[in-house]
Amino acid sequence: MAELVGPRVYSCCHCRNHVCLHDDIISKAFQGRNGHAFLFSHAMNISMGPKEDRQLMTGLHTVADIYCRDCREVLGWKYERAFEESQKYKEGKFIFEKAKIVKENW
Amino acid sequence: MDDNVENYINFLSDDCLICIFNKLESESDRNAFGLTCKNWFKVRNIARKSIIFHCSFNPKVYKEHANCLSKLLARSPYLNLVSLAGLTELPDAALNQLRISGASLQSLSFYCCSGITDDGLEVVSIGCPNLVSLELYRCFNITDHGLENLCKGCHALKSLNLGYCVAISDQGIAAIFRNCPNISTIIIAYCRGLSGVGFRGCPGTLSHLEAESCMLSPDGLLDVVSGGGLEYLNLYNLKSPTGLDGLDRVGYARSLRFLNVRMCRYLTDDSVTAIASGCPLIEEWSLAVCHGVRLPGWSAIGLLCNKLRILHVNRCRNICDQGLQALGDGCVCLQVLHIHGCGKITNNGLASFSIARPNVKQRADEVMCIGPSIEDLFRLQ
Repeated sequence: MAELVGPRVYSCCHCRNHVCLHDDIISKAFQGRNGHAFLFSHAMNISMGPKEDRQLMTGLHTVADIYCRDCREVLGWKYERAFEESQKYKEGKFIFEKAKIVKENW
Repeated sequence: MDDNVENYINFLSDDCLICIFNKLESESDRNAFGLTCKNWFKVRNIARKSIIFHCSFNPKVYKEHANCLSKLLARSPYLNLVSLAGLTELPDAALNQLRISGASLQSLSFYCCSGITDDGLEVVSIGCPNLVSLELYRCFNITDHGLENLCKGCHALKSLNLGYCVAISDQGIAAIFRNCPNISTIIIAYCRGLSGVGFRGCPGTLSHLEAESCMLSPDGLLDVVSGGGLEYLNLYNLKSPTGLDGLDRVGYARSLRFLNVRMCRYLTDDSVTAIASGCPLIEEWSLAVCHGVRLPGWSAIGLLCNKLRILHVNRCRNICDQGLQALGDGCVCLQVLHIHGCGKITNNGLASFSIARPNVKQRADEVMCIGPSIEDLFRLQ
């Protein structure tokens, strides 16, 4: 591919499928299952697992795991519902674990 | 009871007993035979041709296997095959007893025996000169040095499984080709240290190569196919640190029949054309999840792949109705098409294809492995 000056893209660590953009980062201060994670407002080329209720560090949430659409690697999760008022801002947004995504050529 | 009957059995010579033993087919019959008396026990051990420990997920079972392995090896001097799966703590010292069967051993499998190191391989190379097939899957501690020693001792090697041997580099691979003229099957899946240049000068006998998730460079790919005898090549999820596509080099493998480039994200139309024109004998080709292939690539396949029987295009993002039509217009020998999840293909396109090529079976399942089962090449005939 030719050098493109464009949005900074993150890819799946396993198969380099483009999954999210740097510009969509809302917060870098999240904790994933095994380390740091980022909160993104949008995601692409991912498929979602079933919804389930999980007790996370910030309380009870309904989340769905997100998978890379090509290689089916679990990359994080999507917040479907938050049960506490202070956590409502997360609804509809995506968590990608830092260890599972890589910067694509930037 | 009749005294004479008892004596009769004692007069049977050992080779008669071996003949009788070899007709027994079930394991329980064979074990019962061995537990009859000391002589029959000796016969059972002489006639034992293989020790196979299957994978189990129970650590107690592994402990039992490890404990009785040395006794079994000590008693059985004519083994052809020893297969140990999952004995991760098996030390090199345990391999010393393989010398007892020594010259008759043809096939060894150390599947997931990560305790084996170069010292263990040295024992094998000295003790088992007639070795034909060796599996070192997930033996992380094997290095080039051990591999070189092994090849110098075992010239008859035909099949070698080095999956996940991450410490191996091109030097070790080159040593295989220097010393083993009959080598035909190699598995280097997940060997991240290999770039492929070690394959330079490989003989035409090399027919099967599994290089799943490797980081072969474009120059390395050229060397991999340089032998000219390659019939089966698996490059599933080939990693490219630079993002460049070196797969056009595969077009130099004139005898190639089975090609798996599933999930090769960087594969371009130019490379597809090079492969289609350079490999006229190709029978089965998997291009699943190859998003870089577009209409020029599909047209090239349709036009040039005249022996193609099975094609996989599952989840390709850039195959459209026109591409599908190009495949249908060509590929005269096509029998099966694996297709699903292709966003740009419409129901119209599929229907047109079905009408134009009613004899081609359309399947929605996605297959990871294509072609002949490589496991079979590691079993003795």
